Amino acid sequence: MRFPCLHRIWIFFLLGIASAFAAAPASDKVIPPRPALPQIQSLKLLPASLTLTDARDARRVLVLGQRPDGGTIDLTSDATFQPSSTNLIVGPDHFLSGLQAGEFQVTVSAAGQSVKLPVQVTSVASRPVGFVRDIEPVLSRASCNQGTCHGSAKGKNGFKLSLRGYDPDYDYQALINDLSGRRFNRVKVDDSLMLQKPLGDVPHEGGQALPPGSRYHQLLRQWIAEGARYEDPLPARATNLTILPEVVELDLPGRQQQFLVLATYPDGSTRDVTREAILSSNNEEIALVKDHTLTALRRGEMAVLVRYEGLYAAREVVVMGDRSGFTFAPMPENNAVDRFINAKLAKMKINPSDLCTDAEFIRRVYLDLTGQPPTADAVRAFLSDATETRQKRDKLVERLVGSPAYAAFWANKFADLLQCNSENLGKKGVWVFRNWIEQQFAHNRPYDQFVRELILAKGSTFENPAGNYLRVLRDPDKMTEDVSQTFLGVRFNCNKCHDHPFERWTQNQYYEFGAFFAQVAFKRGTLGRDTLIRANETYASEQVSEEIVYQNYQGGDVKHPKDGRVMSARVPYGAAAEPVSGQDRRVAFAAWLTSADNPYFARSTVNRFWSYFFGRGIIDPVDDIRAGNPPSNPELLDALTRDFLASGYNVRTLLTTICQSRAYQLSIVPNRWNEDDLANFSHATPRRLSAEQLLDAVSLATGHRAQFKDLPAGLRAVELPDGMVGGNDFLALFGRPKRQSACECERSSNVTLSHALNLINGPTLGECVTSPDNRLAKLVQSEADDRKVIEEIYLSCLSRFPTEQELTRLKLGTGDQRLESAQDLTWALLNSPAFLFNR
Amino acid sequence: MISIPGKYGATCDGFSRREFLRLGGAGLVGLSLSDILRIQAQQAPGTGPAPNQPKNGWGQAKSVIILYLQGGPSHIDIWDPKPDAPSNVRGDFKPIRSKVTGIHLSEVMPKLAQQMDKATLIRSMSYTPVGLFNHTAAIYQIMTGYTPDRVSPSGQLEPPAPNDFPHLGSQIARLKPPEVPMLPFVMLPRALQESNVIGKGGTAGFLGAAYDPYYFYQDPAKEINLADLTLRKEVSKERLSRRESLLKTVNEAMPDMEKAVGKYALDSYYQKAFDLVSSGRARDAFDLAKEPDAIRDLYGRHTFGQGCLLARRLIEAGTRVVQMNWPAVANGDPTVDAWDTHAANFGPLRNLHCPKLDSGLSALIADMDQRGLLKETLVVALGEFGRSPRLGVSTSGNTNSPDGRDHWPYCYTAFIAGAGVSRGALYGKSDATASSPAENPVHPTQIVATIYHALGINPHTMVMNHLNQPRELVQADPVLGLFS
Repeated sequence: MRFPCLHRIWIFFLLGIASAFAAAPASDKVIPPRPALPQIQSLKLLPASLTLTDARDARRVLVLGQRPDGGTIDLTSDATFQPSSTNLIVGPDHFLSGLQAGEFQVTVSAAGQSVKLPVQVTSVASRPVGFVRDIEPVLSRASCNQGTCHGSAKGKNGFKLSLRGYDPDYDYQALINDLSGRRFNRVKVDDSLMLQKPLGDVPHEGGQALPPGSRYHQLLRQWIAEGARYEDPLPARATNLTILPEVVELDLPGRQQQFLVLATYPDGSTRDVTREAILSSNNEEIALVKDHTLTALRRGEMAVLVRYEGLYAAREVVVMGDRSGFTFAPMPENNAVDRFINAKLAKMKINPSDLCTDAEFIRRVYLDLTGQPPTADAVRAFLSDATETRQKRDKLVERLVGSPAYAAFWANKFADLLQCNSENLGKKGVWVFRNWIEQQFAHNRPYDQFVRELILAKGSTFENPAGNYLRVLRDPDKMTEDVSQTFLGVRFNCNKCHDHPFERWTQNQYYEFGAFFAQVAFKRGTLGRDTLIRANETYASEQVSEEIVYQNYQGGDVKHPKDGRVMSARVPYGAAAEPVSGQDRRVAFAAWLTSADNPYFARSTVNRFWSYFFGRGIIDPVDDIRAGNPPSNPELLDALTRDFLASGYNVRTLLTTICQSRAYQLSIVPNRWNEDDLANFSHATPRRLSAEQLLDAVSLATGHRAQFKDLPAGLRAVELPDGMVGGNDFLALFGRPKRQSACECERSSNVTLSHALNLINGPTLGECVTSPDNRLAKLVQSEADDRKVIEEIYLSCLSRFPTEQELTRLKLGTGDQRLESAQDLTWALLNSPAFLFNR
Repeated sequence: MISIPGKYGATCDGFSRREFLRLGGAGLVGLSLSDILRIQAQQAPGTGPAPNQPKNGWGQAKSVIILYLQGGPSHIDIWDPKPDAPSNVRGDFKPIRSKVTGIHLSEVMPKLAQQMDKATLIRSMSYTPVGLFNHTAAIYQIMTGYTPDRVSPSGQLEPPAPNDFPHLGSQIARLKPPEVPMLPFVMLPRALQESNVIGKGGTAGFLGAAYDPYYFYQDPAKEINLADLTLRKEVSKERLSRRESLLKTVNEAMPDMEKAVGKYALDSYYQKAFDLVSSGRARDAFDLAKEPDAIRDLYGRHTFGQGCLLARRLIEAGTRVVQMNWPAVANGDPTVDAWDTHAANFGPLRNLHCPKLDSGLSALIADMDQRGLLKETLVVALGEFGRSPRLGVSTSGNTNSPDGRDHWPYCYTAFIAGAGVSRGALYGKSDATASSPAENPVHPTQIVATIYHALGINPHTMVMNHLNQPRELVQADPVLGLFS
């Protein structure tokens, strides 16, 4: 389906343009004017004092003005800096550097206030320029190693650097040894090609990358003059990034905020790398970032992403906007979920919506827990139950969690994620695998055990169905990518070809991860063969039989593509037990994967389940967890994770907690203070029913179930074992996934003209509504009272009683008309958004 | 050195979506889509003033057919033969004379050569990619007029997003809705696609889903399922219209619900769906069985040929924009007729691709001309780029077989006809090796501008985006020299 090599080049091109793009759209954004300064009570410096340790050590502080309401305003660009001695230099952007050791003071003034900044200069010795510590960041900052320039797959004009400097050793060798070392003239330093090219003294396709006389020019020159040395890379590579300020909350659009970035080295020393770090906005609709300054554009939340020499960090930013008149009205707290959501809403000045009605709740919770709406009778019983609302709802949740319909629904969900499809598994394979998954939910298998069994599966795929998961994935690369995405919520796809450009994952880690699976092997079994089913009929003759998953101790090593070295099995973070020779490597891996200490496993699972109930993860997308994709409510996610671990990975407990929370039970009707909120769960969001939910709901409402080809009658759509065949066009049109990927995005939930056409005039709905054996025919015949008929139709379709107004406006007529009218009313309700959406 | 491990057909990205720049979503964006649709409805969807320039071709087109040759067809081997170039450039094919003196096509396009008296070849198409040098970015540019601003860390574009720039067909559908109840904009027979990025550049983007094309993803060379467009037997026209008003009544009683799903633009879809089903116009247009066998044979009994025929039928029935995407997805597989001929060029072009292109395109032009439709329909056939003049070299980082050609956006050819475009003409010229334009270079966004212009829409018309910011339809001028 794809041309393999296309991918490589895009990656490099992308990296080149990402930062170019960060600036490009800015030009057409309307930047609001800077709002007037509020009253400033005092100034605060970040950090409050500075220590400079060598001649090149240059640092700065951020100047924050305290507002009377407790917030701060960034005054850094307005401030004046008056040093106590001429031996302390205030450079551009207020970077301070020392000419002589000693204790100094700088008077910082802004907005009519001033404050003293103590500066200690411990030494002004000249520090030798190192390639890793000093030169690589310059090459990055000047964009030399970007994907469009020398960082591209083939370099540029015979000079190739590693992409964004992820491999300093390679870069050093390229600089020093290529062209027989002719890039450097150690006698006449200024004649070095390494200087003439970026300065534009000789033709350079990339133009003038370094202004003559600039700090970077001097640094490069000094490095060459000192002999172009390569230092010990380990102590020279920063290990941690700190971004200041720690809390960024801007009051109004137009306000700016500067950032300060500190790198920490293995010896504990720090360095101000604000000028070399690359900062970008993750949402240019909320705020723009240029160099180290952010400008707020509109109310909202976003994050500033910071990248420096393979390190990544993010700082969340709130732009509050005008909220005058706001008074916080928290929701009653059913459980801890609500406490954390209330806290976030208070912070963002958002008021939650009201509680949804009982009728709305029963439909919502049935759909979310069992995949189908309640029957008319169930709605009647629930609505007439006089028990206090919260108690009644809690009880309903407890009844649905663990019901047979629950197991069937969640089996369908996980059969998606585990890619249960007949193209890979054959007809029998999909049945045994799906049924096995259903059993796990029916028996509430602790989630860690469930996952361990999938990872460690051995033997016949018919007799031990868990083995079908590895069978689908087949090779170590796909196992690496899908296991990490499905069970950790992280994506390893990028670091297959090079270190992840926006995350800490390295290429080595990709292959070390794969090494755990390298000895997993498959051979044909002897049990029942069946036809391999493919969309393309040419393959119909191939046979799929049982396969045996086994450990091939002789075979299977993963080799690094760069140099062919055999990769040892190693986990990308934390520590796994050393794989014992002769033992299945997966044992150590599975223990690490599902350990309570694994910071991604439980957390990503909880987040994923959460998203199924709110239409959005606390981290979203749920399978792309990264520093640059922060949770909208970290405290909530942490608390849910703790509970999940404490419960022994009990999925039922987790889902019960979620459904019993007040937050889950909020109305879709917004108020003035939450209508623009999409991320903080302050109101419910209508979610289009999934393909299977939709079909099952139509069947339930009409009492006529669509028959699937070659499958037992009466099957619910969520009980279909396969993503590829055995469904119908309706399911495909409404986005049932084929189960060929680990990505949640494989399932679609949009509405288009084709959907509307199918709903108003397509065969599925049409047949269910007008089938002579459906419930409507019986109902109209047995019930003479039109009001009762209408009531039953509303209960079946929308899980609520009709209002008096609706009853008055709707008439069924007489004779044959009655049935036709009842059908038309059913048709209309099934086409209304109240039916098509979970609300 | 970085190299890619793995076997032929492996992919280094899988489903990497919604990455990097998109995190956190739109957060607390103030306007909902329904607000925007409302605002748009309030603004007269005017077409802006006519350009000050000479009005060549202005407003002569009622509709447009885009034959989108996705994958990047080799211009030298099809449209712009270079018999005097070195053998590693000119390739295997010989030029043939066309009906127009001085215009030669490649020998693999004999039928089209006989129709060249009705069309113009722009042999100076050219651009330098901004950023990504892949298919999807190039597709996005030619479809929307803008370069993409969001890419995922895998190097691929983001999947379609609500803040994408709209496809030009969606803009046209909004600014010039059809005069009769008909699908305004149809895309067939498959989605724009490269690898796992499906549909990028093929949506209404910030205009809102209501202006998305009608995606007719079926093979017109096979039996077409039109159940959705055909009234069910138990539902008469009258009953359908009763149902329609009943649905309205039922929904009016639930205003909160309507408001909460505003962004899905259901009303607008339902309105269109009702009109379509009750008029029967679309169903008839899709019914290729209504065409005489001789005509169907002329177009060619394959997906592309029958798709061209379907395009003509849709235009006749009132559709404004039809986009026929080349049936095969670029994938480098030489046994499939995809234009992305890295792995083998001449054999597949001669035996697979060109016979289909030749019959479909030539039949369409001849048929439309005969029916008088060509006068009021602009027909454009082009890909996202051409292919490297030199054989077997890598220009995009891809591996190419010795007789393969790599991506080449710096010079390629577009075919354009109808609606006042000069008949039997060449526009622009390539250099001796068709590596760069020798005169009159045309940027693909100018083709977008030309299409707007031909439809009587000022290409510089401002349209409000999802944040209510004004955006030009396209930042390029039409190529007025194309029109006679």
